[in-house]
Amino acid sequence: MLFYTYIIIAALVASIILTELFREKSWRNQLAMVIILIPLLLRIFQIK
Amino acid sequence: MPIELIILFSMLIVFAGGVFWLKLPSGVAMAAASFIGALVGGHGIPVRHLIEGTFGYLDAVLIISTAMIFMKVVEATGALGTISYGMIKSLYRSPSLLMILVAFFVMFPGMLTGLSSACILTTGALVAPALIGMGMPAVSVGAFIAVMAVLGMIAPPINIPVMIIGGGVDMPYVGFEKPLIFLTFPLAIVTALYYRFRFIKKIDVNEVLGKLPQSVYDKHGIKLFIPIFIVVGLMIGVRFAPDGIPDFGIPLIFMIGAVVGLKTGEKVDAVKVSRSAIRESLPVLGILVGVGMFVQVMTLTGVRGYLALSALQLPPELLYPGIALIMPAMGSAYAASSVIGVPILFVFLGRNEIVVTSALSLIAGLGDLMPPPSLLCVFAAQILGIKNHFTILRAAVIPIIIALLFSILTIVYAADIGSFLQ
Repeated sequence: MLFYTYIIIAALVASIILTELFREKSWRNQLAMVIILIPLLLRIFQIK
Repeated sequence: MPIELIILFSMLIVFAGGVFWLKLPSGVAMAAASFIGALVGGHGIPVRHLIEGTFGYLDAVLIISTAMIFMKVVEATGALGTISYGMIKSLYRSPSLLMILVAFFVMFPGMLTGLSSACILTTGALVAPALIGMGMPAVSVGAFIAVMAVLGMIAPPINIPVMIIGGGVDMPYVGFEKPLIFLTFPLAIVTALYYRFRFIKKIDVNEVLGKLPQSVYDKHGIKLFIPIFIVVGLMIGVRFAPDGIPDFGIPLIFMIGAVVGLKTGEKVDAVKVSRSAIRESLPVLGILVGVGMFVQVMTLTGVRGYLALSALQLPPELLYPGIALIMPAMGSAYAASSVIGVPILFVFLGRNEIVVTSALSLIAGLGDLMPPPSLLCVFAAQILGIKNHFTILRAAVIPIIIALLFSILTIVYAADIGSFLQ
């Protein structure tokens, strides 16, 4: 139960970062968002 | 020159070049430095290690994200504004006590989130106009808030630099509360009194209150503070009554507090507040992911082992001045903790490692004030409308020196302090 609650929290954070990624104009900041998304997405999809 | 030094220098050059020439965010520059470090070390492009590194501080990423959402919700409900209004209204006749409480108030978001910038952007921004109204020059207000932000970041319950150093030596984040309180609270009191006796003579309460957001206590009553009670209560409850209160984990505690906060005060736009919270924490989240990759490649290439061995061989007369000068000079608490903090801790094995790590985290934390990034001074200058953020650093020199001396003395007497605090 707790595991899936944390997956939901990670998904919430990742979805906000994804929204910001598409709104962001600077490629430098977009790059920073991409590296933050890597562990979050891999954990959400339980690849790692 | 040993290959480990060549790898380390190439990583540091890429990091510095990325930040200063290409203007990359620090996290991206660290990722690029990791990439180059692996190449120079003869490991090609170790995708598995780079990805593994991004997971190094995933728990801290979740804590910071959820804590910032919580702080933004509490701010939007009017609870933070109400606390600062009430504090000044009831204590303006005792400026010393008031300044000490203002100091703790500014530290509060940093204590919960582990983020120094959270202190400046939330409680710091709230009290800054009031402090100016109390007679402090804007530059000194910036210095006061910036130093309190560092102390808030280091104070328990959440201290990310300790987690970074502990992660490097496989030391769990347990038992740090007392040493961190011992290090931060007396310093906060001394710093508050230093600025109080230097600048604050007599307080015109009406002028000061006029510069603060109005209290919404009459409208919402005690329920305004329920989210704060829940978060603090669950954090303390888990430690003192582990059989009665389940350990949900810190991110979930913050999310519970944030959800409750949506109904306890002024109307809050949950989506807008969450987006603003994540946007403000993105630079720090990026650094944490970058630091994870950096540390992973340093381990892969043997640079960490080399640094640890070199630190062990430092002559004692150079050790303490070296720690006090080099760690803050990294310009970032996280960079100083991961690159210097971990090997330095090996030097002090056999003393009380928990006390030593706590003191190292404070020295590393001062790095957030230092150039070239001077992150906290830049934030403080931004909210106060000061053009040259170095003036804020200059105004903070005395508290910084006191904090450095106190930390070094704590390391020297770590074993005794550890026994005293048990």
